[in-house]
Amino acid sequence: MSTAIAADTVVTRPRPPLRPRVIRWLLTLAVLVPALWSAFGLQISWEQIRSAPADIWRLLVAMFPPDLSPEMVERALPKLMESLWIAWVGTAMGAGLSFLFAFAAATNVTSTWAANGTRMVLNAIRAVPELLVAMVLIPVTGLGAWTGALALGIHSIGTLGKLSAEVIEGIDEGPVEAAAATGGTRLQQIRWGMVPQVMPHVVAYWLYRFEINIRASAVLGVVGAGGIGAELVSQLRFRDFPRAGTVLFLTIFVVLAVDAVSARVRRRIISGQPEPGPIALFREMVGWQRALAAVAVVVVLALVVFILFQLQLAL
Amino acid sequence: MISDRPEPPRRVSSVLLPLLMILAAFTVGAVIPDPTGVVWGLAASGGTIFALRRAGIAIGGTGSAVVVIAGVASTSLTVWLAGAETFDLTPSSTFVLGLVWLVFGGAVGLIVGRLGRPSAGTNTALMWAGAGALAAPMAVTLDLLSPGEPDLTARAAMAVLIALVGGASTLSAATGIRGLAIGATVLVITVFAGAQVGFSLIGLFQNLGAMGDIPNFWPPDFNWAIGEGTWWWLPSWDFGSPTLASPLLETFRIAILGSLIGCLVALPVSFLASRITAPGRLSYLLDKGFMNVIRTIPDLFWAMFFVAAVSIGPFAGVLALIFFSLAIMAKLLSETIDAVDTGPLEAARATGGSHFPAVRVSVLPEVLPNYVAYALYILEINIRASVVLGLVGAGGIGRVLEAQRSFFQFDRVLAVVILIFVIVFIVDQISVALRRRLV
Amino acid sequence: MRGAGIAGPPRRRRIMIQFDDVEVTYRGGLRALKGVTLTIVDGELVVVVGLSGAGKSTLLRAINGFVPITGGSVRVGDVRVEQARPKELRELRSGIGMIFQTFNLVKRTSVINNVLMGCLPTVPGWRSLLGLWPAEAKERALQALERVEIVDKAYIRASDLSGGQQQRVGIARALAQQPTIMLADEPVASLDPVTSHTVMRDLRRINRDLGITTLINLHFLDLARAYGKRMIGLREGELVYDGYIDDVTEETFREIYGRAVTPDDLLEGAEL
Ligand SMILES: Nc1ncnc2c1ncn2[C@@H]1O[C@H](COP(=O)(O)OP(=O)(O)O)[C@@H](O)[C@H]1O
Ligand SMILES: [Mg+2]
Repeated sequence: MSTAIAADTVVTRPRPPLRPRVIRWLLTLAVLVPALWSAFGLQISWEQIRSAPADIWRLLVAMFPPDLSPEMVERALPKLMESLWIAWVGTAMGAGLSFLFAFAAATNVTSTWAANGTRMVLNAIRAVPELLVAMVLIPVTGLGAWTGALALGIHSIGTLGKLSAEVIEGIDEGPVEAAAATGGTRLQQIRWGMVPQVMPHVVAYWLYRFEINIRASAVLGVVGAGGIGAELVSQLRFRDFPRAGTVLFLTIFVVLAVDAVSARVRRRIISGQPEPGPIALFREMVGWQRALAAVAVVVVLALVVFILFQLQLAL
Repeated sequence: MISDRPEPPRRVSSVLLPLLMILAAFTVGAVIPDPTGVVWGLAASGGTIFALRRAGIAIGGTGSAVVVIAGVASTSLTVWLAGAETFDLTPSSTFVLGLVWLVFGGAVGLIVGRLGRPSAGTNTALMWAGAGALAAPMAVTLDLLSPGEPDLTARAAMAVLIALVGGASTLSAATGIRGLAIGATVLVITVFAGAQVGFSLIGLFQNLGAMGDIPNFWPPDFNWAIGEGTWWWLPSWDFGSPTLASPLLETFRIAILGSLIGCLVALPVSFLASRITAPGRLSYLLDKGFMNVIRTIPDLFWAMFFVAAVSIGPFAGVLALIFFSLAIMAKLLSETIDAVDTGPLEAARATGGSHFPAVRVSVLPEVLPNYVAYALYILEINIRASVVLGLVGAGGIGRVLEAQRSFFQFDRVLAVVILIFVIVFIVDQISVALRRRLV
Repeated sequence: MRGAGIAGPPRRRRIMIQFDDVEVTYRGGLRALKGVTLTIVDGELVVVVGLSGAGKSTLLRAINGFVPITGGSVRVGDVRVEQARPKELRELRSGIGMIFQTFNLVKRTSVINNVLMGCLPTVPGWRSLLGLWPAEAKERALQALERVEIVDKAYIRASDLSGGQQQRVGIARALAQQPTIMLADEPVASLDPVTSHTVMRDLRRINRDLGITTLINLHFLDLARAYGKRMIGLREGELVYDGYIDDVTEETFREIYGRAVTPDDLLEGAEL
C-alpha cells in the first residue's frame, strides 16, 4: 500500500534533527524536577488526597442552599457594595495617577533613561500584592475601607502604568509628527497626536482593572481593610456554611454582572461600533439556545426580585 | 453653485454653558424658601428649557408646557416626600424618589427622543430617574443632608447632584456628545464611592505625619526574619519558628504545584471553551459559562473554601491555586484559540481526521508558544498569590505574616513584606524575560 | 502534450463523482449552485473555471461534504455524500485530498508534522493526540514529500518556506492520504507565475503517474488551457460549459465570463 505514492526520483532524505528532541527533554526536566521537588516537599498525605473529593463535596452540599434570609442579605449586601466602592475608588486613583506615570514610562515620550527608571518603579509597585500593601498601611491609616481603597490604588498604579505605557509605545507616530509639523509644543503633540490614539485602549484597561480590583477588594476584609471578605472569614470560622454560601453566591452573582457589563463596554470602546443588543442576539439564536437564554433570564430576574424583596424594598 | 458646508461636530465646550445654566437654575431654585417646592420646579424646568434652546434644540410651546408641569410635579413631590415624617431614606424611599424624577426625565426625554434616536430619549429619562433616586442617599453620605429635616442646603445638594447627571445626559443625548453624560456620571459615582470608603486627603496627611509614633513599625526587623543558621553564612530563614518547614520554600512549592496542575487541566478545558475547537455548541456554552463563574472567585476565597473543606495546610493552598490558575488560563488560552487561523483545522478535517485529533495536530502547535508564555505568567501570578494564602491558613509565608500581625509586630510584618517584594520582583523580571523570547 | 493522462473515452471507465441536479443555497438565501449535473470518471483531470463568486469553491466543497447541499444528490464512489453519517463522511474524506489557495499549513510546526496530518484517519486517536506517529505513517509522509521533491525540507518549520514550497507541502499532505480524488481550490492564486507552473506541473504529474482523479479550480484561462484536458465552466452557479479544452473558443469564454477575455484573466497577461 505504501508504495502507492512512492516516487522513482532518489533524493537523499535529511536525518531528523537532534536539537528539538534535546530541547523537548530539557523542557520536560525543567517542569518535572521542580514539580517533584514541590510535591514531595509539601508532605501532603495520600489520605488527604483520597478523602479530598468527599470533603469538598460535603462542604458544597453544606453551603447549598445559601441562606437568603432577610437578615443575612441585609448584612452581606452592604458589605458587598462596600467592596464595589473600594474597587471603584482604587481603580479611579490608579487610573488617574498611572496615566501620568505611563507617559513618563514611555520611551517615545521621555528619554529612554527616564522611561526605564519609571518603568522600574512601576514594576516594583506591581510586585507587592494588594493585601500586603493593605497590611503595611493598616498601622498608618487604620482598619477600614479607606485603607483597602488606598492599597488597591497603589497596586493599580503599577499595573495600569505598565500597560498604558505599552499602549503609548505602540502608537502610530504619524499623527504626532503631523502635530509637530504644525509647530505644536511637545505638550500639544501629546494631547492631539497621542492621547486620542491611546485613549480607547487605556480606558479599556481601566475597566479591566476594575474587574480585577473587585475580586481583590472582596478579599481585603481578611486583613481588616473593608468589604465582604471579613464576612466570609467569620461565617467560615463559626462553621455557618449556608451563610458562607450566601457570601460566595452574592459575590459570584455581582462580579458576573459587573464582568458582563464591563466586557461589553470594553468591546464597544475598542471596536468603536455599537454592540448588538440583547434582542438582536436573541434573534440570532436557534431553538434550544433561545430556550436556554429565556430560562437564564427568568432565573436571574427572579433572583434579583427575590433579593430586593428580602431588603424590604417592596412598597 | 455654493455647496453647503457640513455642520462641524459639536465640542464639549459648546454645551458646557447650557449645562451650567441647568445647574444654576436647579440650585438657585432649590435655595429659595418655599414649602411647596413649586418655585424650585419652575426655576429648574425654566432653566432646562432655556439651556436646551441655547444648545440649539427646538422646544416648542407645548413641549415647554409639558416640561414645566413635569418639573413642578417632580420637585414638589420631592419636597413633600422629604418633608413628610415617613421619609427615612430606606431603599423604598430611594425607589420612590427615582419614580418621582422619572416624571421630569420622561418629559425631557420625550422631547430629546423626538429629535433623533428614540434610545437617546429613553436614556435621558432613565438617567434623570437614577439621579433622583441616588441624590438623597448621596447627599446623606456626603454629610449634606440629615434624614428627616430637609432644609434648604440639603435641597441644594440634591439639586446639584440631580442636575449634574440629568442635565449632562440630556444635553449629550440631544447633541450626540457621549462623553458628557459619561463624564458627569463617572464623576458623581466617584465622589459617592469616595465618601463611602471615607476618602479624606487631610486625614491621610495627618496619618502620614503621625507615622513616627506607631509602636513596633520602624525599622523592619530583618534579624528575626533570617534567623540563626547552622552556619553563619547561611541563615535559616525560619522566621522565628524553627519547627516548621521553611515557610518561604513552602510558598514556592505551593505556587509551582498549583500552577502546573492548573495549567495542565486548563489545556483540554480551553479547547472546549473556544467556539472554533469545541465539538458542539452546547458543550462550548456550558464550559464557557462554568469558566466565567469560576473566574469570579478571588484566590483567597478559594483558599478559605478549601481550608474549610480539607483543613488547614498547604494542600488547601495547592487546591486553591489549581482552580485559580485554571480559570485564568482557560480564559487566556480559549481567547487565543478563538483568534487562530481556521485554515489548518479545515485542512485536517478534509483529510478525514476525527475532531480531537484534527484539533490536536492543527490548532495545538499554533497556540503552544502562547500556552507556555501564559503558564509562566500564571506561575508569576501564583507566586504573588501564594504569599497571602497563609493569611487564611492555606500554607506558606502568609502564615508568618498572620501570626506577627495578630501580635501587632508590624516591624516583622514589614520585614517579611519587603522580603516578599524582593523575591516577587526578581521572579517577575525572569518570567518577563523568558516570555518575551517565547512569543 | 495536453491531457495525455487519459486513455480512451471517459464513459468506459468507473464513475468517480456524480452530481445530479445539485442545489446549494447558503444560509441567508444565496443560491451558489443551481441544478448542476455532471459526471467525472476515474483518473480524469478537470479544470473548473469561472469568475470569482461563480460557485467554483462551492462545487468542490460539496464533493467532500464541507458544504451541505440543499437539493439533488452528490455521489462519490458508492457513497451518497448528503446522506453520509459523520463516520462515513470521515471515511470518504480520508480518500479525498484537498489543496487550498492559502495552503492552510500549521505554520508553527515542522513540514513533516504538517504532512503527517494526512495520516490522521489511519492512525489511532490516542497516538495522534500524543504525537506518537507510527513508523509507517512517517514513511508515508516522507514518500509524499519525495514525490513533490522537497523531502530535504522535512524538518524545517513550515513558516520558513517560500509560497511555492508551502503549496507543495500542501500537496504532499494530500498525497499522504493516498487519495483517489484530489480537489485543488485555486492552488496557484497566491503564487507568482513561475511557481504557479511548477505547482501545476506537479499536479498534472500526480494525476498521470498515480491516476488520481483531479479537480482544479482555476482563475487564469491560460493555465486552464495549458494543463487541463476537460474543462467545466460555471457562471453564477450554473454549469455553462462542460467539454474538451481543445474545443474551447473565445466565444466559450465570453459565455462563462459574460464578457471578452482581458489580460487580467491570464496568468502571464499575454493574449490567448
Ligand atoms: N459560507 C458561505 N455563506 C454564505 N455565502 C457564501 C458562503 N461561501 C460562499 N458564499 C457565496 O456563494 C457564492 C459562490 O461562492 P464560491 O463558491 O466561493 O465562489 P468562487 O469560489 O467561484 O469564487 C458567492 O456569492 C459567495 O459570496
Ligand atoms: Mg473560491
